[in-house]
Amino acid sequence: MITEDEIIDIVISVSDNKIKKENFNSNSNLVGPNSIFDSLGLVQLCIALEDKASEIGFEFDWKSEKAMSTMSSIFKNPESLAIEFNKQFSEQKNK
Amino acid sequence: MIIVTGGSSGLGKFIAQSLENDNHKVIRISRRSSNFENHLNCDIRNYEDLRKTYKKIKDLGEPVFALINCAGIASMNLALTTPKNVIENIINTNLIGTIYTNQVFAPLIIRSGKGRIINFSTIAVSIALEGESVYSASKAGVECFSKVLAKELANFKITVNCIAPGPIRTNLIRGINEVQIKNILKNQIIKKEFNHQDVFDIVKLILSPDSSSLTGMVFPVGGNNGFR
Repeated sequence: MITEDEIIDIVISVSDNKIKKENFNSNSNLVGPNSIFDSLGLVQLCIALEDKASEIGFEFDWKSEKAMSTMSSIFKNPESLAIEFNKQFSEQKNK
Repeated sequence: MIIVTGGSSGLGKFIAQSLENDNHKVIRISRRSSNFENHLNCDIRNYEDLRKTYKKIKDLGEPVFALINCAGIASMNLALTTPKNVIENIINTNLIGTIYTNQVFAPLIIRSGKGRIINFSTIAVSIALEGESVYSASKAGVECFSKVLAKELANFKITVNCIAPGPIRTNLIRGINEVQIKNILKNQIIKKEFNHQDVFDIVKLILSPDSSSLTGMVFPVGGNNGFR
């Protein structure tokens, strides 16, 4: 499982601390025109989440059809990303 | 570590062996079972198969420097008489399989901090070779995909290039007769038949640390005298 705060910490770490915690919260955009993340950062975030998933014993799929959907992207913000991450964790653990 | 798809036969086998001779650790990937050490069975047309293979390689915990996509098929057919299943098989293997492979394995190279991706095209693209419309279309797609991917991976210090051989003596050209081979060679700047080693020489060039600025390119073996 992952919390929104943990995702925010990963985002800040991936950005080499260019993103400041005071300017970034669980509703901040990760993708889209208002995002403070570039594509490089987004891929690094995906890889960091994949590693986190490996640590706790499941596979995080960040290439799903839903991932980049404009309406319901899992990358919309840390909140949506945490929800998707935890959903995939629960689904795989319950298999 | 270097991943070579199609590494158990033809050009891929030669490249994998040559890399091993140069003391690289190579992971061969192919559909067929094989007795090679460090071989993984995987059908590149199958996304889930690739994901499983990705996990196996990732779990090895060794940095992956390069991905060389040699897996591919060819078929000589007129555009209007190519069977539907042949069209689908060529596109699924050469184009979609290559896209899948690049997408699934690229994160392994991103984790390493820098690297190389080499995809294979063909001279048939640049000369619009008659009788190879579907094959050429699949490889033209590979070229375009590679150029876009080169842009998207540039910030990760990963170069993406294509090698476009003319007629190299492998199973892929078994449907082409000697007259056709001579006609194809006329389209190269250097009008001679090149071999596996010549292709590997270009692979080595791209893998070299001195080639970090070469990206988004198509390297025609023997030079391209075509329209592009």
